[in-house]
Amino acid sequence: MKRPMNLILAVLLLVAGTLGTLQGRHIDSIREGQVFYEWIIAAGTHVRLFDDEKVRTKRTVEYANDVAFLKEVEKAATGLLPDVPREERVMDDGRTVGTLAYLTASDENYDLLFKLARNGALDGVRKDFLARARDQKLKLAQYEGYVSGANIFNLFFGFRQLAANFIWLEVDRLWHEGTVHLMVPLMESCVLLDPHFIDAYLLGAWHVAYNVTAKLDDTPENLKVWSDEYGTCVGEKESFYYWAAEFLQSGIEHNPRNYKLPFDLGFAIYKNKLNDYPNAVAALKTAVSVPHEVWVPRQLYIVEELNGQFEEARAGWIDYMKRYPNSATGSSVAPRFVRRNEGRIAEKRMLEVLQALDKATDPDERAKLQAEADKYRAEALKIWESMGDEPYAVGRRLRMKAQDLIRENKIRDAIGVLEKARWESNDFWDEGSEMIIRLKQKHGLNLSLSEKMWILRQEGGTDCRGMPPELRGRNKRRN
Amino acid sequence: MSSVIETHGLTKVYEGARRGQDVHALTDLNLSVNPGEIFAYLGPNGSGKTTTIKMLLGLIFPTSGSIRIMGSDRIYSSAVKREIGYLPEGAYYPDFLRGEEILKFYGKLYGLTGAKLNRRVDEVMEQVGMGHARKRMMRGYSKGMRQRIGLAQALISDPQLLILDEPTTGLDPIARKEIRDILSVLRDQGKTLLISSHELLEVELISDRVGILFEGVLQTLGTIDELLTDRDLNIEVRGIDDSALARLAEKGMVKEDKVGDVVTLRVAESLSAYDALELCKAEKLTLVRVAPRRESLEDVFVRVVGAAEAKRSNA
Amino acid sequence: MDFLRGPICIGVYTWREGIRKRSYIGFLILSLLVIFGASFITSFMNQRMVGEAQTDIDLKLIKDICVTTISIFGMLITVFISASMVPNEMENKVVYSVLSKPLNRFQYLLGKFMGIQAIILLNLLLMGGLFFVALYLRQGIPPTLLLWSILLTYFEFLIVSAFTFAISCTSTSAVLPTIAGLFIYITCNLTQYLKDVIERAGQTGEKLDELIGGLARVLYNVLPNLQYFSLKTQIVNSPPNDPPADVLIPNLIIYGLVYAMVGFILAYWVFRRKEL
Repeated sequence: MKRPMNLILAVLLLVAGTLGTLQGRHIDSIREGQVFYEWIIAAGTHVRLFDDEKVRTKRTVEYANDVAFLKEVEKAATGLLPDVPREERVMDDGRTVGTLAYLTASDENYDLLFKLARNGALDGVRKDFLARARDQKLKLAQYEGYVSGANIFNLFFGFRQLAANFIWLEVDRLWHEGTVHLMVPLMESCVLLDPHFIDAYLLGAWHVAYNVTAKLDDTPENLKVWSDEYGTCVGEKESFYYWAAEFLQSGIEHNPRNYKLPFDLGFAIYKNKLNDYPNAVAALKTAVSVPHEVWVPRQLYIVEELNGQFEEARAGWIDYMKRYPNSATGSSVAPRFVRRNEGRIAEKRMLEVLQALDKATDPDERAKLQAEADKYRAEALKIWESMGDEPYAVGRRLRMKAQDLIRENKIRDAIGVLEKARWESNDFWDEGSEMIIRLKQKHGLNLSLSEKMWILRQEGGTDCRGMPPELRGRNKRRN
Repeated sequence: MSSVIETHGLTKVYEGARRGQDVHALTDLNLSVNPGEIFAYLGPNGSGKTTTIKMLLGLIFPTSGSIRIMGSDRIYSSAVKREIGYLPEGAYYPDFLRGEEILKFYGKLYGLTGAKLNRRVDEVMEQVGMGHARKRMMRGYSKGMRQRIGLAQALISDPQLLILDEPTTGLDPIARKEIRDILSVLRDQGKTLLISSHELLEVELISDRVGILFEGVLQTLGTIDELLTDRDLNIEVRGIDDSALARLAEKGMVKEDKVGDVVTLRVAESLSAYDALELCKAEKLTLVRVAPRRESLEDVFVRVVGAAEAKRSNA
Repeated sequence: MDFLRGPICIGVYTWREGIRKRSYIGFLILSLLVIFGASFITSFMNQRMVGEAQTDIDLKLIKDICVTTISIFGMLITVFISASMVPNEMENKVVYSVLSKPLNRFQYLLGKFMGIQAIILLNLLLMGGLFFVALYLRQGIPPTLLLWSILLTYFEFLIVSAFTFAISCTSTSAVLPTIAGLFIYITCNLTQYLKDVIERAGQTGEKLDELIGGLARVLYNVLPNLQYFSLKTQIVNSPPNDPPADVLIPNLIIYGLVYAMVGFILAYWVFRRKEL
């Protein structure tokens, strides 16, 4: 009785133990697939959004391994991926990305990507990936999440998220203490511990871009230093802005399903701080492409307008009215913005025709073009008039009047009208001021001291230390 | 009817850390307990009583030998266990339960449920005289009450065999008497009782048969009457001197005790009462008292254990 | 059914006894206080924080603190309860009365184990329930992912509990098994380390190096890996319907059950011929 029972128990134990081991290996394989899958999404997001080959920033260099390896993965996965036509894979900035990177844009594909990451056909590549990740050759792989490994993370027994929180409390304390220079490394540890700590990215970037820089003075253009990374002259403030942008970018790569990160990147950093509208549009488009709040697309259309993409902005606002007919913005703000963009579209077309007119020599063609220009002008004017005394429309109407006066060579009157226009319409301030200065310059009128300084800043003043000679003297203002 | 408990060559050896350090807790025990009797299982602390009982209950396993209970050698089976009620020594019962809840818990283990269980709880509560306190929490019980609850849980399935390990230890005289009375009643109901004890007076009063265990070896076994058959005569005298004592001792009258000037002489079996009195008269001693001497169980115990100890030290 | 009646009876008794243990009540109150207090910490933070994202950062803090609290205190309760139930009964001799009844040792152990699981579940239910309510009041929508997290936590505890229980069956006092239980928890959380050792060993080609690698491989395959359950902290903050989490959760449940079985078989093997 004693012996057989022991034997039975031994067999049972062996069976259960083997089952446990097998199940453990099964979970291992799932977790390996998970790390691989998360990396594919991060790397794909990086390729889609930030891997601009024209600008070799520090990030694009750091992540070059990831990008290269993603191509290898894609090659290995040929046949396993759905066929996406090449033209669909063209990004807004004209780059064509691989199918794998393209698929990371929508979370509808995540199931497919996870299955791919676990696919037996990719065993070799996955093994290669894990080896590279272990050796920390891939920047975007969250390997420590999978292998707590020989590092400090083990101390927390998997409670790394909590550790991240406590570090964040320290960041908060430093901020209130005013020792802001100590915040940056802590924020970096924070998101290293918990790469899904969305608010650490958001608040961290916001602290650095807004609060830290609030105490700094503007760096005079000639004291700025040329940065190859960003392809521009960077002063003290700008270096913080760019740090914040990169911080948010790394957040986006690890959390591509979150709209807040690209929204802040586009709105708070690119638009408000760097006045970099093309990048702001790209980031906000990313924010709109994932589930988002009602106020997210609004900023995209505003930035598109600022970037001169009036058609897109108009289409966006119309779409917005359809999607949110009951919101205050959808019912009252959106229609005004649609009109406004329509007016700008007409103005833009008129300008194009006038430019063609300048080049044209054939009298028949000139007459035809002139008629066309007049038509667009009338169209724009009609729109501005229909908008009544809304400041924006008032500004645009006065601008048209000033242009008429310029054509009649009544320069001083034109300046007077522009002066009125820029005080009437906030949106017109920058444009109006520039027009006034240019006019005064062209016609040799007296410039005020601030106007002279503006000119100095614009012309030659953008040169900075370390700037490549071929770029010197170039006006760096984007719009 | 055959024996209720029967052991043959039952041996238990606890293996020591090294060879030669083995502890022989029980050696070659041959025991049989008859139906309807109270069997007192005696021995000093550590003599192997509890070891035997644990083996009977299947809590520990014999090194060699066999056990039959109710004629069955499948002593771990439910059918056999159902017929055994057991009261462990110094058992604990959780404070947070009421007396009757504990009984219900144990009753359920026997498969009793519902009305049947309630009726049985009522019965045993009355049997152990705890009917008045059944709703009280255990923490409010005295030691005697706890012991009675212990007895009640042993009785809950109405078993044929009751094994009680030191049932009266640590109780006051009144509580002891009460327990003793309950046990007598149980015997009268036809139950078989195995009571282990080192308190001889308790069992002497109620037990039918006694087994004395010392150092794992059963030293003696028999009915109370069998064990206490040796009858002696004591003669108490006054005015004896040393030379007279020596002379009397030669004849078989040994000094046993001396209180004041009264000396108690123990008369050997070989000497008749008349001859003894003649001898006293010859020595001109003043006779105080002549009395028969009955050995108590304690005497038997001391004698048996003493003999065993002496044997051991000689060896 | 007859077979299970005894175990159920023992289980209920174990449960009633366990929930009155001082260590259990102490830890439970402490953990409930921490979960409750997490809201205070964050409201304190709230006043100091500026910016748009303030409500979310304290939500995250509440979640992380609570999940960790549930894990740590739950683990302590699990270890204490699992380690003490059988040794205590041996100490106070209840086990003698119980096993002298028509009930075999397997049934007894099964009953004890079920009772212990009931206590652990009750404890998780209380802590998780309070957490659930706190989160619900905070964010206004029922935090369903939390339920998955608590479920996973239970299966993690199940493994720790089963092995601690097995060790407690060898002992007559609760001290050793308690220490062993904590040790099991720590060791099994470090199992993932061995994976690293396996990967890095065997590179020098030396005998000792290979030996260490081999040993690590054996241990890695034998020991349960509790780090797998770190998913419980991840899913609370992650968006719903994450494909890996969906696949991992059922597999982790199976994993927990299988290792619990291993632990229980060990416990029975030890206890079957144990001299009480």
